[in-house]
This record gives sequence, C-alpha cells and structure tokens, in this order.
Amino acid sequence: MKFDELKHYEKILIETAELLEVPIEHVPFSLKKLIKDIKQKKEEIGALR
Amino acid sequence: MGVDKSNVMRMFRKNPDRYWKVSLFEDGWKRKQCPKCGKFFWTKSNTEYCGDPPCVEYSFLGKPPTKINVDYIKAWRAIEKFFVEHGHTSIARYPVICRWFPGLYFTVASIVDFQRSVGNKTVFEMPANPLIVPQVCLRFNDIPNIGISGRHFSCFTMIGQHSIYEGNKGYWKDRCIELDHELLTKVYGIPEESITYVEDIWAGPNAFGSSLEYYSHGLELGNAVFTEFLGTPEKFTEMEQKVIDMGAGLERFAWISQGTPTAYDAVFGPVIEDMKKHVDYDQTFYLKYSKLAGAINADEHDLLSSKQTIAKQLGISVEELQKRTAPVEAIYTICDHARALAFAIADGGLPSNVGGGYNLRVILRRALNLINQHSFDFQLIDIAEKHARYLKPLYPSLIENIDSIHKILEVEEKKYRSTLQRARRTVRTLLTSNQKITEEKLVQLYESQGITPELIAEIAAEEGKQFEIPPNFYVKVTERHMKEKKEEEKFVVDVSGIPPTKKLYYEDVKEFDATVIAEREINGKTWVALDQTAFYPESGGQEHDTGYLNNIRVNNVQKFGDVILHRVEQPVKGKVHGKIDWDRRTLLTQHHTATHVINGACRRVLGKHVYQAGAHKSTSKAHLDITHYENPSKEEVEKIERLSNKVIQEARPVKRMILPRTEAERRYGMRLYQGGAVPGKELFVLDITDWDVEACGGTHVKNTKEIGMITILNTEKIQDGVVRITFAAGSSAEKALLHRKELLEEAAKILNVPLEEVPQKTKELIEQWKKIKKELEMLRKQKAKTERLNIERIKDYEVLIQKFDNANMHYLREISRQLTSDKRFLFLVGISDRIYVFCSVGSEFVKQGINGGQIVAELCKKLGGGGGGPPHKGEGTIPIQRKPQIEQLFKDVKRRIERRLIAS
Ligand SMILES: [Zn+2]
Ligand SMILES: [Zn+2]
Repeated sequence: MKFDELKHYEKILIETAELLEVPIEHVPFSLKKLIKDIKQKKEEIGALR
Repeated sequence: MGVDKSNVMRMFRKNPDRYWKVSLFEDGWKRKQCPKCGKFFWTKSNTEYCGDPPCVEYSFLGKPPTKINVDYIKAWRAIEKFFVEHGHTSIARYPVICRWFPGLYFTVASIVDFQRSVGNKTVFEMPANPLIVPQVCLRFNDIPNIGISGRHFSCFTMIGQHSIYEGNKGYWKDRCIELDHELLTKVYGIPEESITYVEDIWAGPNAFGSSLEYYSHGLELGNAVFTEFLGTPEKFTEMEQKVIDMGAGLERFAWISQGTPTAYDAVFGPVIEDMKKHVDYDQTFYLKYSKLAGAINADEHDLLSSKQTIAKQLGISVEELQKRTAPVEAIYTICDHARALAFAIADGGLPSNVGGGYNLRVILRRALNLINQHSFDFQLIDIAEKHARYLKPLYPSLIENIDSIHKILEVEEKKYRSTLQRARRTVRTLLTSNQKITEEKLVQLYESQGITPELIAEIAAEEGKQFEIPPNFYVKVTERHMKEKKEEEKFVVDVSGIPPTKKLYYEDVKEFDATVIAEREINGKTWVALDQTAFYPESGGQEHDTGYLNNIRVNNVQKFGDVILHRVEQPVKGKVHGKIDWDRRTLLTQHHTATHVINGACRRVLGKHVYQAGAHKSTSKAHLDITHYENPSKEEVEKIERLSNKVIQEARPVKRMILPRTEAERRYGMRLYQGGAVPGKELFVLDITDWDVEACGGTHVKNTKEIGMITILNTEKIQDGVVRITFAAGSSAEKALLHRKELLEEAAKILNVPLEEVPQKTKELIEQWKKIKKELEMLRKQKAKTERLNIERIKDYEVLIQKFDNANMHYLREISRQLTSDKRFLFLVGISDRIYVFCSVGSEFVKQGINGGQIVAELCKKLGGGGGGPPHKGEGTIPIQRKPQIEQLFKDVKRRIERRLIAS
C-alpha cells in the first residue's frame, strides 16, 4: 500500500487515541471498554428507575 | 596516579638553566627568587618581586604601558598578524562544546583542540605546525569572582600558540619565548624591564615539563608550557615529539593596552558601554576602586571583609560602596554570562539539569536573577545579540546561529519565570519560619526548584530580613554535577595475542570463507575470533549481525579493540564458511542510514543547535536522541518526516570515506562528531550528499532510495534537553504502519463504522458516556435519599448495618456520602452482580480503635472475597454465591462494634 495512504490511516488512529486519552495500541480495547461501560450504566439506570 | 609535582620541581631546580633558561635570558637577564612567594623568576630590571599579584599590584590601570590601544578584535588581529608573519598558520577556533575528546564537556584550553584519544592514550594532532588559534574557552570554576574581580570570565579567548617539536619540525623553548617576548615588546610595546618570566612546571597523568609564566605590571599575560618528558621524575624518557602549549589571555592583552578599570570594560566594548547607561557609572570612582579591588578573589577571601577594607581606604561606608558597585558588578556579570551562553548555544550546547548543560543553566539563571534584582530594563537575549554583532568579524558563527540563541534563551527564560512565583512562596515561608538556611538547604532549593541564593537575598530584603549569599555556592553546586562523562561499560575480554580481524562488512559480503584463529570462554559461552569476518559487531548503536559459521549459529558479535569475537552455539574450529542473516543486516543498515537522514532533517526543522545525543538501531525500529529543549510539536514532527522521505525520494548518493582525522576535520568541521569522541587516527566519514556528514563506522546504504521509507512512530522528552525520536525504516516502516491500520480496522469493526468515521463515532460515544454518567449519578442520589434506613443507637453512637438490593459500589458510596458523620458507623452491603461491601467509620469510632479497612479485609477474605482500606473507610467484594451468609456477616460486624463501644 502507498505510504501516504497508510499515513492517512495512522493519522485517524492517532486522532482517536487522543480522544480516548490512551496510547494507540489501546484504542480497540479502550473502545470496547467504553461501549461496555455505557451498556452497564444504562442497565443500572433501568434498575434505579 | 599521576606525576608528583613537587618531585618535578625538585628535579628541575637542581638544574634550572637546563629547564628554564631560554636563549633570550642570555642577554643580561637575571634569575631571582621572590621574597614574598619564594618563586624563581627571570628579569632584566632590578625588581625584587616575581610580578604575580599579590606580590605586586596592578600598575597599568589608567596608564597603559603599551604603545598600542586595541579593542578585543584588534588585540587579536595584531597577535595573529605577528605570528603569521613568523611562520604560523592561523586556524579558526574549535567549538566550546567539546565532542571530540572523552571526559570533557567544554573546551577549557586551546590545547584541548588537538587532543584525541587513540586506544586509551591521549595524542596530539594539529592541522598545521606551528599554529595559532583564538580558542574560546568555557570555565565554570570561578563563578563567584566573575563581574567582581575585574578579570575573571566564564568565557574567554585563549590565544593558543602551539608547536610540536621533532628536531627538524616545529620549534622549541628558545624560539617560543623569543616570539612571545617580541610580541610583548615590539608589537604591543610593553617595556622590557616590566616583564618577568616566572618558573613553574606542568605535570599530567604520565608526562611533565617546565613552564614560564609571563607578567607585566602585575598582570599575568600568558603561560608557555613545554611538555618534554614521558613518565615520572623517577623514571622517564624524553619525548620524540615535544609539545609547546602556550596559552595567553586575549582579554588580558586588550585590557593592558587600554588600562580600563576592569578587563570587562576593555573586552566587551560597545556591549558594556550600552549596558552602563542603565546604571550609575562613575569612571573616576571605579578606577580608584578597581586599583584596590584587584586583590579581591572571592574564592580565597571573604568578600564582605575585603569590601570593608576597600571602603575604609576610599573613606566611605561599606553600604555606600555596595550601593555604587553592586549594579555595575551586576552588568559585568550579566554581560559575561550572555557571551558564554551565546557561544555555548551557537556550538550546540543546551542549558539543562544534567552534565555540562547544568553549568549553562546556572549562569543563565544567575544572569536572569540579576536582571530581576536590579530591575534592569534590558533583556538577556539582546545582550547576547549585541555580543554576536560585535564579535562578528572574529567569530561569525554567533550571528549565524542567532535564531537558535534567541529561541533557546526565550524558552529558558519562560521556564525560569514560571518557577519564580512558586519559588517566592517557598522562600517567604522559609524566611518567616526563622530557621537558619543552611548551605545544604540552599543547594536543595536550587536543585529542586531552581531557587538561587540571589533570589532569596532579594526576597529577604523585601521582608526586611538579613540573608547573606555564601560566596562559594555556585562552585559547590557545579562541582556536584561535573562528574566525568562515563563511557559505556562493556564486559572486558582479554584479546591480547589475537591478531586484528580483517573487516569485510563494509563491502556487502553476504557469505565468506575464513579461519578460526582463537577461542575464548566467557561466562560459560564460547566465542571465536576469525582471521577475517563479514559479521558486523555491535557498535555505534547498531545491533550486531547474526548468521552461521558452517552450520553453527552465531548469535552475538562484539568488538574488543581490533579483534571481533563471534559467540557460537557450539565450538567450531579450522576453516569455516560464514553466512550473514541478510534480511536482518538490510534492516539494520536501512535504520542506520535513516538515523543520519532524520538527524539532518531535525537540524533543518528544529534548528542548528540540534546534535545527536545517542541512537540505537534494531530491525523493527530505531531511535535517535537529539539535543532539543522541548518535545517537538505535531507539525514539526510531520515536517521532519516529510523532509526525510523527500531525501529518500531524491535518491541521494551516500558516500563512505576513510580519511585521516585532521583532513576530515578540516573538510567537514567538528560537526562530524555527532556521536561523540571517536578513537583512532582515521575516521570513517559518512556523507549523505548535501544533507548530513558524520563520523560513523556503521553499515550504510549506498543511496538514500534504498531506505524505502521512514515513519516516525513517537517523540518524547527523555531528559532535560534531550528528545527521543522513535521511527521505523524500510519494510519495518511499512509493517509498523500496516499494524496501525489494523488497529484502526479493529476499532472500526468494534464501532461498526467505516475507517474514516472512527474518530467521529468515538467522539459521540464519549459524549454519550458522559451524559449517561451524569444521569446515573443523579438517579443514585435521588434513590439514596429515599432509602429507608434502620439506624440503631448504641450509647450515644449510631450504627447502620444494612443490605441494599440492586446496588453496586457507586451506590453504596452515594449513601455513605449522605450519611457519614463523626459518630456514625456504616456497614453497607450491595447485592447485584457481586456482593459489594462498604464500611464508613466516623472519627469517634476510629478513636475507639475501630478500623474499617481491617474489618472489611478480614470479613471479605473469610467469605472468599477481598478488600481493605484506611481506618475510616473500607471497601471490598464477595462472590455472589455467598449471599446466604450475609446475615451471619452482619451479626459478626455488630458483635465487633458492640464489644468495642461497651468496653469504652
Ligand atoms: Zn612572588
Ligand atoms: Zn551512524
């Protein structure tokens, strides 16, 4: 694949890592955790209501 | 070890004519002994004294004994012209940051220019013979005297007159002193009768010789050292190449020719004249004062008592004297420090908290402090720039590097200001506590917070308190940091008796034939030496090759002197066929040349102050450490990467040359030594066409195109003043980028969106999470308020032990937040996916010896869970299966509490 194209994707990954405030290697894990946490919190809200 | 100086003196004094009497002295000069200091000296007049203060006083202030009156630059031009007319080559100064000789941060003398380390011996290599050089030197051991004594500098030009004498080449003592004397008397017109030559000796670790220091009117002008013998006075040989190291102070020559109150007035020219407009400077008064102050040496004398004596002589109070001299001393000091910083930064030095950078930061902060203290309305940066303009004809590199000087001083000043506010608070607290501020404390304040004694004195004055600056403070802090640069330690192997290995690795040899010529056992592993090898040994930050000898694996290769050893998995003997893991070598080579490419890019993007501070090259990635004051911005990193890849695209030829060291230095300058001192008489020079030239013994591609691509993976500040750039090159760069793309693809899959939308979707999720979190917290709060609570009273305490269904730790915490008080004990259990235990212990309970953390830890452990915490708060969890045992748990807790409370 072309260098510029790969660089483009790297940039997107770095941007995501910065949003999540984690190192780039942790991006997928961090996203999974975020989704799981949202689900749990939603459930707790349901239970509290 | 080293040569005992008193033994040398004894040896020489037995035969002074042999060692000190030069041909000049034949012409009616007499050898005398100074009745004050006991030194022997030569004179043509009837003076009794040696000429060295305090044996005699300055007698040139206000009445220069010279026939010429020259400023700093003209002072050099006159000297240069004279020596060139007498067969010397005038060479340009070397950098003040010494990268070519191990163990030195700064160039401290002109002779350092020519010192090189070969093997573990020091040799002298001069680009011409004889020669002269205006060598700018930095020394930080006299800081308290600078600005005060009238003659001390942190930065000065040593006029280096050097000759290597080999019988037919160069010249020796007679000619040296003849020339120096002619310079003094004919060029400068100093009367011969006022000149004395004082006998002394010089002794180094394994060499010694005589020396003659020359003085006029109480001022030392130069010192000619004649290194003649190897060994010690007990056992020595005469050197085949004798070395003349004559060092004279250009500052002194300018000064004596002008007779100004201080050397600063003569040396700093228009720079100090401008600065004087900011203070109340009275030349007549200062001349009177300087004549008396010449004897001040803050190192040896108590500054205050010296000033008391001088004040009395001047017929004014010490306070009055201080008031008149302190601001002038301050501008002298600032002026000196600004000049030293300009040279250091122009030559690639950076203020920091490590190594030589430490000295630079000391003078920088000292100068800023003085500006602050006296509320001067000029900037350190402007003073540095004025120096650069004034010195342009002699030292053009200052103005050429003015952008770096500006930027770095600006960054440093910002750092300084930001610590200042915090520092003020600390100092005020310290002063109001009325404790004695010990020297230990001062050092600690300086090192941890950058608080200088001057700042403390200033704040003390504001507070109406007394604080005296210890005179030797900066000497002490500096000494603590001047530990020698340590060479990287490697295990030592005795390779004596093994012939040097012929190196084939510079020629792209993938396979080769050789003979095993020696074997060594190191820590139970077998290493072999070959007559020749294509295996690259670990060096210059490049990892070693691996491969095979016959079919035996080679997994480590190291160099010991000229011998290369290969670690083999099994012993191997006789004729062998070697095979290098070529994929590995290719990657190492690509990464190595890439390091040089990036270094060149960094210098262009970040500034000329950038030097390599270290590097490591492996197969998957490499790093380059550079000297720089802050982590580069995203834009800068992008620029460096873009520029590096452009150089690769441009397919620039990469040339490797082997040059005699002096030739290489002459052609490429001292920038060659990016990686530090290189031993040996010949240098491997790597030249990436019009991009970067470095001394380097690594393996390299022949054209930048072969690197393929470079991607910067990360940058970080690894220590003060050093930034690490981690990158990958060649196929590893592609691999690293593909890995990053995979991570992005994984993220996209998790989010169920196209790659491009990952950040947007992430942002949305984060927003959603924040909103839900807020909502949940509110709901918990509301629900907690409506809980029916069964609070029990025991004596006048309250105890709540209760279970909550569908509750997690967050919820229990919320309840506790609403209920906790000094006289309450809460033991809350939440039942949901697990059993959550939360214990809050009011301070009155803690006083009774009830420990919440301990209770939770013990009880949870009993039920197969875990937890803990401090006495006032415990948290833990228990597996949900233990739900039936909760009632029993409650009973346990209650019993514990009741026992305690009833017992109290
Ligand atoms: Zn004397
Ligand atoms: Zn290199």
